[in-house]
Amino acid sequence: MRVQTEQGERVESVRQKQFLAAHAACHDKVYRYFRRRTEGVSTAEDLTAEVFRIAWEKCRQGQELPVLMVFGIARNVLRNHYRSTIRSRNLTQQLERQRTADLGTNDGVVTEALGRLKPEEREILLLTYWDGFTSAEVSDLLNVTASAVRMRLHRARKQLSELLRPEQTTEDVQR
Amino acid sequence: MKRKETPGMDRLIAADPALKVTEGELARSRQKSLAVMDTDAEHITVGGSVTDFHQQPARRRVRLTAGIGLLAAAAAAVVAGVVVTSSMITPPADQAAPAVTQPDAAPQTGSPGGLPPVLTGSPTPTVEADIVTGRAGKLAVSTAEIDRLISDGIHARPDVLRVLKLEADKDGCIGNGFLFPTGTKVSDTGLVMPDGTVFSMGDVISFGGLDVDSREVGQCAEGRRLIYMEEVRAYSGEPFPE
Repeated sequence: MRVQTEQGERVESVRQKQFLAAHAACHDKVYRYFRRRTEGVSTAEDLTAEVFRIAWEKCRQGQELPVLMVFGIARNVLRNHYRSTIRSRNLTQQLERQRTADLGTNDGVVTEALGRLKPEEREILLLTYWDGFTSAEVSDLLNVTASAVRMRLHRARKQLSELLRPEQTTEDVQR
Repeated sequence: MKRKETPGMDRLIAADPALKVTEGELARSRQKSLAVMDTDAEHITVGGSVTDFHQQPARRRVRLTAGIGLLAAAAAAVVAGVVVTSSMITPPADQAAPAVTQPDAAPQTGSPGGLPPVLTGSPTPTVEADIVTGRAGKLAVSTAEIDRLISDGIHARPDVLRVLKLEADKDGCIGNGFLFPTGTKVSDTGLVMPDGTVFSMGDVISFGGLDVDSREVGQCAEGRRLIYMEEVRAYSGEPFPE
């Protein structure tokens, strides 16, 4: 009985260490990830807590939690959040555009330009420039090839630059 | 960085909504997300827990089967595994007549070889009991008692015998029944345990860890010798003696 208890405590200790390590490494990034993509502080908090609740359960199964796995959980949680908010794909895209507009960035032109990108290209752009992932990491996260990621990123960058160019030109002229 | 050289990317980075995230926000979220460690509550989803649903669907079914089996075992105990203390007017010494086991050894040493496992670490001594069957019509079990037994963890030790309080329909006497392990077969002549061990009527067997606080036998005890669980004997399906 005592042996079982000690073993249980040891397992629990390992689980806590794994979880705390993953939490320390990922929490802030995950929270910012949700803040960029959802409508408010409380939603981001709730979704972040949900991610780590799932992570805690995975620790119980003895799984390690690298950053990309935690972000994989975060993506699924976000997707479920979107699903629970609206049901159809068209409405989801519409909401995403609206959400992006509601984020209150200082640069409304950038926001509008982002809304005009294809969703998959926009996501790669944001994962790269806002969340700081490399192409290889984005590839793992989205489960697409690295070359597809690079191609979409190239297209997104190019399109965003074109969308922002008239604005820059106008600003230059005004100066 | 190379990616920042693309025109417009600096503006994209500057437009990051997360730049407005404060340390206070982060601290609050950290605290909230760490709170999951304070509980072992399992997240329940439609169809079972997240863990069960994604990782161990078979185990969930086994649990369900075990639960059904336990209920079946409880029912079997009500039907057949009955020992009524209040009906014991004959001195235990007259009733002992052990056919298989050694009655002297049982109370202190637990079950002899071939008998069901005895609860270890029990605060109560091992006791003896005779097997009796065929009294189903005389007894009814409290639903609440079964619920309590099951919720209290009978599922945790399905391999041992459990005592079950029963209420007699006649005279309101309170007796004790034994809840046998899942898979126990009951016949008119005795029991066959899941491991194949056979107990026949009249056999004296040893039980460990029984609740000996069974002195409240109601009006059945009036004018009769009070028999504690340590001295349990039972009749083999004979009518209540007058």
